[in-house]
Amino acid sequence: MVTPVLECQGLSKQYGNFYALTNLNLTLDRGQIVGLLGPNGSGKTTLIKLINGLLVPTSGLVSVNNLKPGIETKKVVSYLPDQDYLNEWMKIHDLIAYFADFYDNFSAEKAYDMLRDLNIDPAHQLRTLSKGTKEKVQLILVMSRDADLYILDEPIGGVDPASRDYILRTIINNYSEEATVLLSTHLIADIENILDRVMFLRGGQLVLNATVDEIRMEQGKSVDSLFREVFRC
Amino acid sequence: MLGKLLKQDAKALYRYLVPLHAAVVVLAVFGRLFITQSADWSDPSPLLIIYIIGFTLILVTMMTGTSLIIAVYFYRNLFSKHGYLSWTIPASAGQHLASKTIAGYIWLVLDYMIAMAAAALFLAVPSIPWSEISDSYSEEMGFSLFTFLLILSGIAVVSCFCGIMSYYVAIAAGQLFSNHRVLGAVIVYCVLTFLVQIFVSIALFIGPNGFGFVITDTLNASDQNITWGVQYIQMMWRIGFASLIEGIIFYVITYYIMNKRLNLS
Repeated sequence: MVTPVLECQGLSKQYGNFYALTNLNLTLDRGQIVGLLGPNGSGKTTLIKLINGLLVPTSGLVSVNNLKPGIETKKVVSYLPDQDYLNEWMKIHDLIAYFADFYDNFSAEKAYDMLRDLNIDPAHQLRTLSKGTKEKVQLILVMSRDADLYILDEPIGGVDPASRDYILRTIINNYSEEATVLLSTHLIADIENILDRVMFLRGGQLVLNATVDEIRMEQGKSVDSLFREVFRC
Repeated sequence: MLGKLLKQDAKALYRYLVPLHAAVVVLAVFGRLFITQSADWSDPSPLLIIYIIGFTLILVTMMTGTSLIIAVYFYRNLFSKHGYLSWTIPASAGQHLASKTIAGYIWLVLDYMIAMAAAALFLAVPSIPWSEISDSYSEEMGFSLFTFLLILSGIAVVSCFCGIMSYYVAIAAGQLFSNHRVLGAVIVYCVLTFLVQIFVSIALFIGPNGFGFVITDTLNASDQNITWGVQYIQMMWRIGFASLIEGIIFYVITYYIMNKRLNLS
């Protein structure tokens, strides 16, 4: 039996009196692109942080390749946070050297190729780049790793529609069949065509976990339409 | 992995601390060449007095600035948005802490050495009668000025470890607050500083050779062999030992928080 790339069992996270995640159970298999969808405050980022070991669960378990978050899981998880998390004073080629230094599965060649495609000069300091270009650089660094699990938190939020296509193509072209991409975004219509599966989170609980084909065939709706229906205010 | 982390931490601190220390050395050389070398120390001019006060303030600023830069770097690298990168590279909490401690410690010791060297460069001029000052010091204290500086340096090297760990433990403990974590860290630092003073005072006074007993003995003139110099050295050893214990305790607490209680906001 193939080990699931991600597993959560009774996972909960409490902040003070507020539960951001409540008794979450889910399993993700390899070789798929999964949309993690939900309104603001539904627990998406909390779940992502727990998978990356940036938060300690209040109760329950989270595992990647059957291992609790730690050094071994960090080697195989490639994570793009939803904010500018890189040192602004560093030049892009310094960042590439940094990633190559710390991640054995990082390909500097792949990163330079993608930068060339997007006409981004690696000699530039990060602080001199526009918000959209910074996001592209961050995505390039993350997708230049040969990881088992890519976790992308709002990867297309700050870029123009033309660049979105390039980014989505980058995601599709740069993950292997054995890898899984977990993608969190509000721009459902833009990513719907590349998703294999979607998970809807509401109030820290999983309310839907289905393939895109199931949604289309059984409910006769697009993911975007179903999302608007489920989360109507 | 520790080597790679150290390389990055050293590089990041180097950016700020090298220019800061280079500026102080340049000022010390300037002061020596153009002010203290040719000054009349028996009748100091207002310019000399102002420059000495100014240079002392610069040294204090350099040392405070170094501590601040190390503490801010620790916070930013691990607990601000940059923590999203630091905590997702394949390194353990122990490796992160060891790297930050070594990098920060080396800089604090270097800072102390540069401050001493700059002061020496600034003040060790032929017109100041250092041999007379040294002789009268030896006569009063029972040991040479050189011995005093050596002991002071030893204590400073140990205190650097305690100093750096007190910043780190306060910042790490600040992360246990749900909101206003920087303010939390400052509060923890103030409380810790108060507790450390109590701890050092206890360490100074307890035991048969404690400072309190020595003072009592001296006041009673029951033991004329105990000089102020001996008391001073005993006091320094106790401070050094207490600092080392504090530093180790702070290190363990910081490691526990980073390893078991990480909750990046």
